[in-house]
Amino acid sequence: MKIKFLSVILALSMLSAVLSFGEETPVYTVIKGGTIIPVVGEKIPDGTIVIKDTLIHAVGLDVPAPEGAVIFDAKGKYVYPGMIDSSCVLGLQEISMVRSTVDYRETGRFNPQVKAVEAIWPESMHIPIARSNGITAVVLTPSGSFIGGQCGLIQLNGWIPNEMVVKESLAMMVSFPPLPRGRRGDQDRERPQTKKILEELKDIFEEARFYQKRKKASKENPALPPPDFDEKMENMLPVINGELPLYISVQSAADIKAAIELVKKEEIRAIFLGAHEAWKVAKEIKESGIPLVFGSLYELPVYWEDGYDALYRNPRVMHEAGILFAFSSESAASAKDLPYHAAKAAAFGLDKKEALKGVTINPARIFGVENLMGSLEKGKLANIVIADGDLLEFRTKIEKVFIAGKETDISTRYDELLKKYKKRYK
Amino acid sequence: MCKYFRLGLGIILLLLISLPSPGRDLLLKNGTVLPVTRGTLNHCDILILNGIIAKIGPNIEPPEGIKVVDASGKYIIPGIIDSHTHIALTGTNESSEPITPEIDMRDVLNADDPSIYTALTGGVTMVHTMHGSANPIGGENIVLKLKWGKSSEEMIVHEAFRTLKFALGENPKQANRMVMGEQRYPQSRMGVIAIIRREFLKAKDYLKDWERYNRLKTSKKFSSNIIPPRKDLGMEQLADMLRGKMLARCHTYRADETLEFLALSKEIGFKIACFEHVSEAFKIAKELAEDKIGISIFADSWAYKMEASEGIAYNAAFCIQKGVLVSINSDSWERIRRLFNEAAKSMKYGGLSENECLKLITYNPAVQLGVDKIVGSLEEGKHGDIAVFNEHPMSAYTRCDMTIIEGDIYFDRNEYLKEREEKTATKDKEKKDKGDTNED
Amino acid sequence: MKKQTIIILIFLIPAFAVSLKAETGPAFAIIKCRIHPVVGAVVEDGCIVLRDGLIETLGPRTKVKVPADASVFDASGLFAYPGLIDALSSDFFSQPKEESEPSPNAGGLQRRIDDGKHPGLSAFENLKASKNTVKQRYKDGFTSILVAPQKGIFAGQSVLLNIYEKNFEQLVVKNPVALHVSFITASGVYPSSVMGTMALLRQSILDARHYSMHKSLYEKKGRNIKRPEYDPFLEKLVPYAVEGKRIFFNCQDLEDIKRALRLIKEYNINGVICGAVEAWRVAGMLKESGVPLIVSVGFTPPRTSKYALQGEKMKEKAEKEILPANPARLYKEGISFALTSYGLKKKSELKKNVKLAIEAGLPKEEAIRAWTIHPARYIGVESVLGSIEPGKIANIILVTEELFEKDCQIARVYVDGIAIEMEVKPKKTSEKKETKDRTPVRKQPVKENNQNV
Repeated sequence: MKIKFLSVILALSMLSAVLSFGEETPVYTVIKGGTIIPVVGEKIPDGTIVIKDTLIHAVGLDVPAPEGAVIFDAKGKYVYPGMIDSSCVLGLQEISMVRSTVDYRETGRFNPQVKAVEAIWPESMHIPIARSNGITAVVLTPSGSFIGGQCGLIQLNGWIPNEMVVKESLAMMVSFPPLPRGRRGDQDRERPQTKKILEELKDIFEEARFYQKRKKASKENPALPPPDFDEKMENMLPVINGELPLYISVQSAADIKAAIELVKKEEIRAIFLGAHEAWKVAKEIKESGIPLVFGSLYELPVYWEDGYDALYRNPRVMHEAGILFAFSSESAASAKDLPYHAAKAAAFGLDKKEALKGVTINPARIFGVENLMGSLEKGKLANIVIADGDLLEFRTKIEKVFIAGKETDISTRYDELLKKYKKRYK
Repeated sequence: MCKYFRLGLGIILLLLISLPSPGRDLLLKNGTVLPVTRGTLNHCDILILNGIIAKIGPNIEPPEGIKVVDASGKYIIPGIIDSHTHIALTGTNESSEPITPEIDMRDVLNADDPSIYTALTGGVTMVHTMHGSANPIGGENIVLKLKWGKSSEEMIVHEAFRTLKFALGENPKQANRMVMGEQRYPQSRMGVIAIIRREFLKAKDYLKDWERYNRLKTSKKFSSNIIPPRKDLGMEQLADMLRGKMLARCHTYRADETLEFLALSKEIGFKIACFEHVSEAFKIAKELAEDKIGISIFADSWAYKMEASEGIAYNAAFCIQKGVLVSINSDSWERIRRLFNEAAKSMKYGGLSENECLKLITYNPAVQLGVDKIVGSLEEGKHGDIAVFNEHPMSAYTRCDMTIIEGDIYFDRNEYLKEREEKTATKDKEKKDKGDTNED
Repeated sequence: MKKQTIIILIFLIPAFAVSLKAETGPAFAIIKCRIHPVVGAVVEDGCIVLRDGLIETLGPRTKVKVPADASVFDASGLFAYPGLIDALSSDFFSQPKEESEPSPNAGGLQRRIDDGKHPGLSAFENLKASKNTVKQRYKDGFTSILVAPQKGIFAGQSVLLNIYEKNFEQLVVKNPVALHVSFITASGVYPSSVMGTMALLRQSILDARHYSMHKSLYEKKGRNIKRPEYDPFLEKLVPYAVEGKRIFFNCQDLEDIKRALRLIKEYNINGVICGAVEAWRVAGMLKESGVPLIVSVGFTPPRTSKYALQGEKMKEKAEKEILPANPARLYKEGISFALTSYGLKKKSELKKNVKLAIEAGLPKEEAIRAWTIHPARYIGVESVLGSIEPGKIANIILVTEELFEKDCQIARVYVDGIAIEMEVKPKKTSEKKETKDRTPVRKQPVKENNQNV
């Protein structure tokens, strides 16, 4: 398939290593003396991490630093895996109300052929801001009224899009209707908009299967004519074959149940996004095995009866039900706030450790990249954050951010403007 | 007889309304008190009598029959004040005309707005609820205490400054593009400042007309043929601005237009209480500090429109360090319940202390609204307006557990949880009962 | 005959016309009924004498002499009440077509511009007959109705009509009754918000006063005074803003009531508060103000009310319990009020809702007063309507049970002394009514005079 794997990055970075040092010896970086929070595994006080080129080579209490390694002293600091934002539009939107800077939404209802990663603007001022707050990788989610396009995984470092892309296609974005605004309405009734989407999806799956059948038949028997090339159907094939999950933005309890039915019936894979009312159908979600990603928690519950903290306690309920979940910012300009969504859930009863998992290892598991990122473990990409405190706290300062083993620039547009205008006061 | 009875009742009612609302007595025990105007007090009690903080200190003996709240392990702060919101109203903008100073938000209070409760769940006890930013000159704003369940009259804070909303930049020039099928003037920043100037000059003429009339009226030459000038409610408002009885609250994003308005205020002679939003305040902190004009801003909300594209997260802290009075506002039905989170961001961006951050949503807005004598900090003699948090309010893991206004508890998370549990229990029972009958 | 129908005694119209001439015409007597005059004590086995469309006299049969020339109707077993008055309605009113052009592009939408300022719009001049409405109204016991324009901030002027099928000119009891004001917005122009509407109301009142002062000075002195520019809007407003004629304020939510009270107090307006389904929440203020109150029996919580904003269960409870208790609570606070059907979602809900209000604690007698003498008072026609008293207009209903009892049906309606026979469904359960000496319903309209028993 069209999935670009880490190999590209590996090759690139190897190449750069070769070019810069003129020899084939690996580059070692060592972070020592800090308290390591690997997320998977126990906290290691005064631990050491050895980075070999792009990957984590070793993590532990008494790990010797290889000869010639660049050493960072993290004494008194905390070392975390970089955070992953499970849904955002970093690089796809600069100023939301200036239409010419918005690239995450395509016109039309059915756009499986568009890929978020093909529109990244690496210069976006929001990227360094998110990175400087400890976010090292994000899932880009295009969205439209219905099938919005393909989500991709990028790391927040690189001069050109290719250097940033980790996985070109992770999932296919589908949007169910949003919850009605205002505070009234019948909660349980299936809405006509949802019904329409379910019917449309059914038709699309049927058409895609037929397309595949004809393709296969003509391949096996050249006498049979192949179907006319259809870019949309081509892009739906991985979905019907269960290779590419649907990333379903769905909010209401009734819609979640309908989506579960659909996924079961069509025998496809899925991830839920948003899931405002997941707490009402925790049992059904658990049985379906579908993981979910919370949208921004900075929203109000639609129904008064649900209580003011419905969105805040949602993650705790999901955790107690044993459902795999992650957090997201659903933003560009506020993507940096990702850790605070997780902390908000912790304020309303979610275990702090679980909150941290929701921005590190859980998203890696949900999107099938747990072999690449999400924790500080040997063999994973060296996406590492050194902080002076709890990663999810407002008061914490992020001191260093490594992405794929490279220390990145954590200065931002904020710093640039402040520096510029400070001169006015001299 | 009935008439006299009615009269008597009326008098009693009037008395009740004019008296300061007698709040309840309450004793908060053994919390970590963050008075804001001085250092942290550990294991400290707060006694509220008649809605007023009577005593702050350790081991206060509870007066007989008083309600006692155990605040062990909790953080007690002054009630949060939102210097810029649009809650508790029926309507935000009178956008059909660019100049509407005659509008008074007091006319559209809605004590039933659920946003009041939303705000209480985030520890907010007082709001400055305002006309929107569609017009260069909007309407008169109002300060409320969020006494959920009480009438709108009981919420009004009479001690606060009278303020009139002004707006510059993108919103007024884009608002309601078509009126009567025609483009509304102004459509540019040039027009915005020009129209405000025009109205003030008109108001000066209006005042002169009345002065002339009043002079004539008292003079011997007065003839009954002289018709008094027409009373114009909009002009009356601007006249009050010129008399210094009302202050400007001006919505502005860019540094340049902020300075233009500042210059206009000096040219005309009216006072500015505060600038709203001012994304680019850090560029002109010097001027703001010199003229002692405060700002009421977002912590880091930016880049949603062109004029907000340089609204850096350092804005609050930097301006504080340059001596500007800064408050963090919500301007949102949702953000209002996490103002404490927003304020906390200035620790990371600009290195403010926890207490300085806390001031951004308590003491500073109180000064901006002219109510710092009664609220904004925990001090004996001030109103018993208090928020209780489970962790330090500047932590990301914190949660508001109780909100108190003048000794009355308006939000109590434990009560909320209890009610919710009861509701779920009855619902489950209903379901079960239904299920049983189905099985029959 | 099983269908519920009304038979209107058409050939009584000449008599009707005669009665309006205020010349002495024939007398009619209703005998053997129980009289609930509303003002005054209940009369058992009573007699009411009507002449010239008016009530000539009433009392116990033993004391009232039936005039020798009277046509007598035996109303044994029936109960006589004054005809009910609906103090606010848009029945029979037909909004005139707007003359204004649609705005070419108001915010991208085709919107009709309406500044909401039509204080001169007369309900009387825009009446439209409706047989069905007449039928429905009689069935509910109404004989008079205040017809008011409803659209706009200054919606227009109302007329009090006696209800009959046609000849509106002859049915007018009072015109105009009041100016009707609503706290709504204009469309496409200022004001676009309720606060704008309040500002407009204030400024309009001030302007009307200024205009009137200028005008009267000019009229008095003429010379040396600049001639005031004629203003058709203010012209229409002056009687209400300056001269103390009644303004009816249409109030949806709690805050609307307070808005009206504020205007009434600030400008010393002769105001009446209408709608006011949340009136009990400001009982203290209402009582203090002494402003007349016309309360709706439509129990849908206003959009901005907590009863509409705190979930479906709350809304349901509000509709079934909380809002229906509004009249009862006002009564307990010692506040008198009229009731109105205005605000009902469906007119057919009227009986059900009045019943809800009574179940919530409103005494029946008070409910009756709220449909009769109180509205007559607030509309300013207490001397001629609202009770069965000598000299008042002969608007009377004869009913089969006490009013608002479950099986109560309207047997006969008198409007301006004209009788309209109504069909009464036989009671399902008991036969005792069979013995009742009551004029049977006839297919052929019968002249009252011939009904000698």
